[in-house]
Amino acid sequence: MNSRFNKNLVRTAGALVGAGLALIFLLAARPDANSSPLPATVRISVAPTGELEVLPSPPRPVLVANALLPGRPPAAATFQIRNQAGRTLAVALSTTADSTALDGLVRIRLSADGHRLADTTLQGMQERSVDLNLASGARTQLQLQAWIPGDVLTGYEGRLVEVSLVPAVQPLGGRG
Amino acid sequence: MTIRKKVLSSALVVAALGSVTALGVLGLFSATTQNSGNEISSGTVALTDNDAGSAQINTTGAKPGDSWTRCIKVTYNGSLPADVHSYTVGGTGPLASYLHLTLTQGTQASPVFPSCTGFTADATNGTGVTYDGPALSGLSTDYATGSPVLPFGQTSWNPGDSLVFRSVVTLDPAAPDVAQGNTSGVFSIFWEARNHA
Repeated sequence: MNSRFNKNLVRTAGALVGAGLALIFLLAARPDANSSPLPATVRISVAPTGELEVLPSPPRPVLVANALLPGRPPAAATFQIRNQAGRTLAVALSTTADSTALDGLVRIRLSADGHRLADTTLQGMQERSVDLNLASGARTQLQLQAWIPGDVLTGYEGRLVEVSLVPAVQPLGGRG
Repeated sequence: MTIRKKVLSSALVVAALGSVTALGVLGLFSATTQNSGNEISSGTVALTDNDAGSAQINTTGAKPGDSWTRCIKVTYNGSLPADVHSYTVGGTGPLASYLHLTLTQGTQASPVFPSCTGFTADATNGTGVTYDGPALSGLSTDYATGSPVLPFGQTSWNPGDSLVFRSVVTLDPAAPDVAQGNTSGVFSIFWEARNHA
């Protein structure tokens, strides 16, 4: 009787220890609820054209924003374009992207020598061009910023979008 | 149990065992393997210049000995390594045979078409001169016979490569009277890129 009781006690204790260990392993293997989500990446390049000199030179991107997370400070870069044609050029910068994944999530701000040319979503950039005029030989410094607003909750994680700014140039009037 | 029942039972047992055996015989193991994600994308060959549609030379009233110096920047924007040949098309007017061309390749710090301010010849052929002869009749008129041009020290044009070509065109100081009031005819200078085979 006593021996049978002891055997049952040991079995019950063993089962409890096993269940406890299994629970500990399960809890340990659970993903950390506080880990940071994967950031989004936006790589912006300027498509080359003979009339405009772009620095940094294509195919090098002008901005690689590879740590975009909601509410983080904007990724920023500056680049130069210079009119190397002999005439004043009307430059229309249109935007194309290889994916719509970040269209409404990423905001882009483009300024030329401190003057704001665009402040919109990536989708907004693709819907209308940014226009500027450049005299022959003139150069302008463009500031580019990309960020994800703090109110974006999801949809950006691990996304990579290649963006191209495509200049269309039109000579204006005479030289200079 | 009657004999009939015994025979039927035996047949039933044999049929049941036969069915099980047949399942084992006719059942097939299978396995597949695959190679996924295949895709082919083509590269590009693209060549641009900074003329914005303007001619390098468009002049009237030229006289013997006049000379025009013009520069143009040619940039390779393709993704495939390429060869570039230059040639001219047109320029079959009577004045064409009295025009002389010296074509030099090099770099320019801040090019503005068609100015040559800041032009520096590279060391191709020692002086950067890639052609020196009759402006139109001496140059070839298609890619096959055109003059190959390469960035100095390279064997092909690669993405982002550029060269500035300086053309010095001179109207022969000894042009005869029959050259008066004539034209060279409209001509174009081509740079054509083709990827390596």
